[in-house]
Amino acid sequence: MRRTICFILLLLFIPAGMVSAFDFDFDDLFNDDLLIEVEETVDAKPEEALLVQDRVEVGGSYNLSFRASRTKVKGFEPEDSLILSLGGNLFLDYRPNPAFRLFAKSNYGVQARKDENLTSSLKLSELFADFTYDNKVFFRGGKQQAAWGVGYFFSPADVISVGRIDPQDPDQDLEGPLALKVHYPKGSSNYYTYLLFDGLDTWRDIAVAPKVEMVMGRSELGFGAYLQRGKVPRLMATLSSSLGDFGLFAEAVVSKGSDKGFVGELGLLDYPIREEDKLFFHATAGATYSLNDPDNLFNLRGAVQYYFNGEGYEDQKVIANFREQIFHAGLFNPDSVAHVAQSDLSSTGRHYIGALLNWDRLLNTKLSLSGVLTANLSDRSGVFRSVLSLPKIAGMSPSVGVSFNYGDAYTEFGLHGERVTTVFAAVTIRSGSF
Amino acid sequence: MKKITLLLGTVLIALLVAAAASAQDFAEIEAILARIDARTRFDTDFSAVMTMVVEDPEQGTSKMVVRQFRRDDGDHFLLLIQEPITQKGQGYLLEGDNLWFYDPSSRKFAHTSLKETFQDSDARNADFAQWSYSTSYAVEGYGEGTLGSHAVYIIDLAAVDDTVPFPYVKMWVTQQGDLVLKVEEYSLNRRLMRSSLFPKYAKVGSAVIPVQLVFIDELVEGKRTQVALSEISTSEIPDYVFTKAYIERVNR
Amino acid sequence: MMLTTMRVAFRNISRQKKRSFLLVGAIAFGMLVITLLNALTGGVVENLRVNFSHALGGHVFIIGREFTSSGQVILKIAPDERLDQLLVEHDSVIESLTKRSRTLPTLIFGSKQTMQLMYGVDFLAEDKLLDSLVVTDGSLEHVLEYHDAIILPKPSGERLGVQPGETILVKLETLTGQQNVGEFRVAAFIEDQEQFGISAAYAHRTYLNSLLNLEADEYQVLNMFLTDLAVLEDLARDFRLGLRSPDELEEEFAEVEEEEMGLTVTVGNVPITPTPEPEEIRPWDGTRYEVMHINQIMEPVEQMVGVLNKVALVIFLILLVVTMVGITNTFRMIMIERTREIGTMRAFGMQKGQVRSIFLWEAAFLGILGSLAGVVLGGVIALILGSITFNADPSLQFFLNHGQITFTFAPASIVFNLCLVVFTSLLAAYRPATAAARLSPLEALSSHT
Repeated sequence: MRRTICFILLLLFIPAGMVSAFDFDFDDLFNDDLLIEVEETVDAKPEEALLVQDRVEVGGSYNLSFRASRTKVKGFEPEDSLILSLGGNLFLDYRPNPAFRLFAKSNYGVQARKDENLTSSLKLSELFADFTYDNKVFFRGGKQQAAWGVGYFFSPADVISVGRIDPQDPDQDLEGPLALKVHYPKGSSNYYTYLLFDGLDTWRDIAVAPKVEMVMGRSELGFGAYLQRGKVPRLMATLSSSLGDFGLFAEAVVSKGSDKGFVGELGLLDYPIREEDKLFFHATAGATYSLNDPDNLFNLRGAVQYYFNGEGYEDQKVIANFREQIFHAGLFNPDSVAHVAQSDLSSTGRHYIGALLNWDRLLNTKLSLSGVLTANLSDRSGVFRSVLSLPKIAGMSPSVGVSFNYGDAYTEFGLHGERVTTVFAAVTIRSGSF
Repeated sequence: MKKITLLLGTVLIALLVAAAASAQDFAEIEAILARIDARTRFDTDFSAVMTMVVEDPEQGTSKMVVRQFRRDDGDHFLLLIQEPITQKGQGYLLEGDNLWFYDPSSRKFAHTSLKETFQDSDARNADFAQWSYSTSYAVEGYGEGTLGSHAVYIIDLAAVDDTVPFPYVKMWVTQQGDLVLKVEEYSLNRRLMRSSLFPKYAKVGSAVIPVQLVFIDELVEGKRTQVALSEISTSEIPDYVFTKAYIERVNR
Repeated sequence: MMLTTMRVAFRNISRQKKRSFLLVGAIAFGMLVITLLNALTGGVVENLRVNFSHALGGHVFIIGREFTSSGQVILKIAPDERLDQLLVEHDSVIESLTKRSRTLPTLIFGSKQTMQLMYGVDFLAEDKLLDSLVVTDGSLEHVLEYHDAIILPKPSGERLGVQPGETILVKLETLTGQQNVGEFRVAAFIEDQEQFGISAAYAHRTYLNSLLNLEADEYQVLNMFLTDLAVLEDLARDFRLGLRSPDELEEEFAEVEEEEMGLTVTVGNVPITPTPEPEEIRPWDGTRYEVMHINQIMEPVEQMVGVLNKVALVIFLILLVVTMVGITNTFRMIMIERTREIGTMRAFGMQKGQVRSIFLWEAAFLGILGSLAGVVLGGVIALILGSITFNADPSLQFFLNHGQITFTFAPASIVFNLCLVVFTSLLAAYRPATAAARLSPLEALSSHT
């Protein structure tokens, strides 16, 4: 046990910049009184003290960066872009007593592009209140980030988040739902019920999503459901565990019917959009690995994940033809396309792979290399991005990278058949938290 | 001839007496060691803020502040990071072999299990973690002296077998209160490897806990670690602290 | 008569140069692929065997385990008459042997530290070792004089920022896990001698042993290079049996019985055990030896290569089927084209059998020519590829012979493949040939083609 704790301490210990060194004199170390009496009142409750703040805490993060890129689409003149952007978040945290808390967070961004006006954005990402019943049942109501799945690149089990993971940037924050969460922890198990209020017309459209998490041996299992009037019901299961140095995770989802519209074969004049109510399955499994080399030669972090998407097309030609028709606009009947949301045209493959390899301090240099691949195995298209981080100069972190897609025309990532290659150089001028 | 016999007899008796005397004194020292060991075995819940400063001439100096909660059974453990600010709000919840890491920006818990990670290192020397001064070491000798302004026993210990990592240990223990002020750990060929200093203790309830700890790596030049404990509490920690719900509430 | 048939057949082939060329080409391609692949996998296995044995420092490896009074298992070989006797008995096939202790210590110089694999070596017994090291800095001259000398791989020396002649600290654990520290004098830096990324530091065994808490004449691994790999497995068996203690035999017996008694549930031939019980280690006296050899390590590699060769054979067979269909179709066409010619020949008194053998000989020639062309082409490609030195990364070097691809041609399999090609060509041509032979001279002559 002691070892475990030591391990965690080590794990925590990521160098964090220069701070003042030892502030005492070794010779005088033992000249004072040894024993300090610590007054401990019976009602001292450090766990509650952490939940109270006498004033509103304000904090946030910022990231000022500059990015220059050149995108070359085969057959076209290359296009350059220069962007100076400032982004980050701001939060307010109000804790008047241990049983109540109010929290708001908003993301901001300001972008200056070459030859364009300044654009800015401000978006409320979270606004919720926490309260508890007797420290047994915990409530969180409002707009909140929710994390249901365990998948890294693909998380079909995350049926309640509004946003979806971008496999090219899997660590990005996801937009959460407007919901009331009821959380009842019992031992190492957790029982949740979410009431979801996004896009409601009447109260009867409130979605209900219960979930249980439990520990079995060295694995954590999760089971959940999503029920909403007028939408297809979904059941999901998650698993996370580890084997040797590998972290393992898996998800499975089954739904009766799909909320997606499916494009059929070309009819007389247009493409029919069908709705399906058969059983759809999603399954995904993956592994993560990290190697910390004491010599800093091979500090590797990797993740790989396979995803079976039951809502993908069995025949990739159908969807490819449809994409082609949309591309050659005017040929189709606009009425039929009106049924097709942009989301109906993504995740069209049956089989996907996501992979990431991060090589930190490349052979004990100050360089770091990373590569991310997202591949649709069904239509053999994909995107790859690689970034080389360069040594810091005067507090700034420069990096260069390249990204490109591959695949035939009208596949998911193959676009209209052109190879799109982007090379970029970026500098994070300043970033931090406050 | 008689004289020689007499002389021999006298020396022998003197030696015996000396041996008996020292054995007696060792018994006293051994009692001190047993009390020190007893004190390190926590049997209450424990909570504190831990500040750790690592000075490494190669990697620079780094500082970390964490709030920790520990259940008396030793199977529940919660760590909340307060500094550095880039990691503020991260939390580690440990229950038996299962560890959850909480990332406040995505509000996600990542689960891992620890056992396998340790199996490799533990396999060979399975019993290493289980040692104590009073059972794993024998007193080689001791003297009295002062350390700073405190009267101390300076005790030389040698491991009774080859299963403890440091075969020789020298420790400075206050004559009053059995407080360990300094420990030097030596290699098998008696080279000083690490010095640990404990210049401050706190009395919390019935427990006496070192609150300032300095570890000096005597082999790697300039490598030192300082740990300070504050806001110590040994009062009972409610169950809800060791839950995901608490981490979500306490962090931003 | 047969000669005439062959001559006609050969003339026919050379008459239709383009068509013959295509058929021969298809066959040659198939033959080329399988020959090259077989040769490549054969070469890779050979290179892996050689490289592994260099990297591991031998063909046969012996380690000894002792059970200490405190209940730990330690790696250690003490002087043992049985072992010495076995070494004497097999002296004629042992090219060289090393008795080393090894450890993975932390090297410290000033404020810098690094981990490094380290061997304790008896430099007098391993007299060739010092000569084989490539020194980049310092010298090996005084290694024998200084008991505390250490030879460092260059990258480690650079990481520590140390110079030859300076003293470094080596922090290690004794066999039972106690901390220990020794001072070593850096004699020289050496090149990474194996180029596989596994580089070791060398020091005197007696001094390293004193730090590991071993006696001067004790060691941890005994590695042997043999003069002849053919005796490898016999030798390993001799050592295994010769070093086995009586109680080990008993235990093995007991284990076998236990296994038989236990009920095993299998799902799809995979045995399912409820949670595998941690194996209880029974204490033992003295040293227990484990004898391993390079073939055991190579076994999984050879299995993989076997699979690869099978895949190659399947590809080859598919190619053959395709060419077979091609040959059949071509011969059908040839038959139609030559109907008049066949009629003429028949009219001049050529027998049915002869007509058939002309066609069959044509097919056989095509097969032989194609196969030979494939083999020759494969040889040329192998020669070219084999002469290029690849500056590949260390892990790839394992598959290469000093950076070069090695091709090992197995004559037996080439002959087998050649026969296969000829046989399938004959098979493919048999029906059209028979059909041609059946043509009646009259009908053939009156044909308009």
